[in-house]
Amino acid sequence: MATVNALLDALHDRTLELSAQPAMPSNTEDPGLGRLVGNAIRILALIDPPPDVMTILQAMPTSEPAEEPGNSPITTIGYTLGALADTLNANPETVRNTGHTDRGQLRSQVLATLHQVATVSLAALPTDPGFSSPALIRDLADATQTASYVPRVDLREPIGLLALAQIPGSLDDSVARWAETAIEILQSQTRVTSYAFQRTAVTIAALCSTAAATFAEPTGNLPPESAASVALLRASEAWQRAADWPPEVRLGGRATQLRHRSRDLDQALAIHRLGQPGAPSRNDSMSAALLSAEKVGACHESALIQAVSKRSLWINVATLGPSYLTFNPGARRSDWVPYPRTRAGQTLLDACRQAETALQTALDHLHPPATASATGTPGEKPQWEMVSAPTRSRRPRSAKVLTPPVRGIAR
Amino acid sequence: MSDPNRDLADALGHLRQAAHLLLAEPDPSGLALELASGILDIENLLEDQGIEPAWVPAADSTADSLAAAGRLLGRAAEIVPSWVWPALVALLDKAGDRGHR
Repeated sequence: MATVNALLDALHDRTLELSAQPAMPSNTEDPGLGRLVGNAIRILALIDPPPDVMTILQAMPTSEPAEEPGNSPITTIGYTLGALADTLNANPETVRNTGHTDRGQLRSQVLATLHQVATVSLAALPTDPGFSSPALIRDLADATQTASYVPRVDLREPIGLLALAQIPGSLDDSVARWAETAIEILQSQTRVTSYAFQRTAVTIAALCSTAAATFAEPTGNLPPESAASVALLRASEAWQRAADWPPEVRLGGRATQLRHRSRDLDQALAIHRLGQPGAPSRNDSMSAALLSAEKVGACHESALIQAVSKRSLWINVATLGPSYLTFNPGARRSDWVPYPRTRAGQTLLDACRQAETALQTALDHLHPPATASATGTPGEKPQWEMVSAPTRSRRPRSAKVLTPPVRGIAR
Repeated sequence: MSDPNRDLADALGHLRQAAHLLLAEPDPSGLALELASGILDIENLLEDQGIEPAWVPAADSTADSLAAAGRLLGRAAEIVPSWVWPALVALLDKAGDRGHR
């Protein structure tokens, strides 16, 4: 199942689709608007809703439409909000314990979508003063305008990785649990270890090589010799090199949880390799796994930059030569010491950067970055597109995320 | 009389050399990654027991490094978690199959 971050990405994409559509004058609201409003209320109620927006939303009709166009942007936005509401409501404790920044980011993304929906709906409705809805929709557009300018960023873990009903032991579940633990350890300056660096790099390498094999299956997405398959194999080799720490360099500490999660993922990958070749879900699972690997890889790189810049890597004294012992008479050959003059840190960092670049190249082959075709015409305002996060490219997420919502999940 | 702590530290050093030997060479079959994962997990398990690795010179092959680690761990078998043994034997078999024995 899609994570909260994947659903927010899908919400963004569908909101862009809505704003790219020409306004169609109508005497009635879009029939999917009631569901959309109801689901927005279910989300906002969990995350400190702005009182003025809630008052407006609660005054709007939220009934389920008897008939509606199955593929209208308003309908798909409503379903996406429904999946998001279900996911958040299934994990109330995590939502409650989420920090102010992520709650604010989530709220802004939902409000930004409401703003765009209201703006587009308003343009389509008549200005008849006897018609009550335009006033509410205008109020909604005004009350949510500020949020539409908030830059969009992914939510951090754990809320960003929340997802509905993953099957225990499945590749999706194992990847999500591994990524959550890996990111948590890599982001901790006090808990990160050389094991964490090496093991995450090895796992990313294994994910890349398994993905290359999966996508090259007879009914897979890609022919074996495709640029994406070649790029995935190169990424695998690059992450293997990044995992290769010289035996005289380490960073000690415990990472028991990561060991368990990594072994679980090893098993899930082994089962995946033995599965039915060409099944569509295999490609979807691998696409989602690679996107998680990309996030872990980015954390890996950031953590290594920190470790190298703070000179916190340990070098074994026995490998530093007799002069070190001469100038440090208290040191023993078996000791591990921080040693700023070593080039090992820079070598590791270079390998890691090359690996991260190789993985991003492979992902760009699999998911070419979206073009700007969905932006509105010049002069049209507000330009929702302009407030996108200035961080990494927002390539389309896996097909799982973009698949139309499953009946029974979204309301 | 050997020092169990020294043996364990040296064993960990040999495991680190084994992982390094595996990861230094490209291996499209994926077996090197599989073996390296297993070795890293044993290293981590031993470090969880408070064992600090020693630096030891590299052996001629991965299998030689693993065998050296196994001999040293065997001298301090009562301290080594039982999970290590089947994992180490499996690694030795696979490293041998890979032509590094």
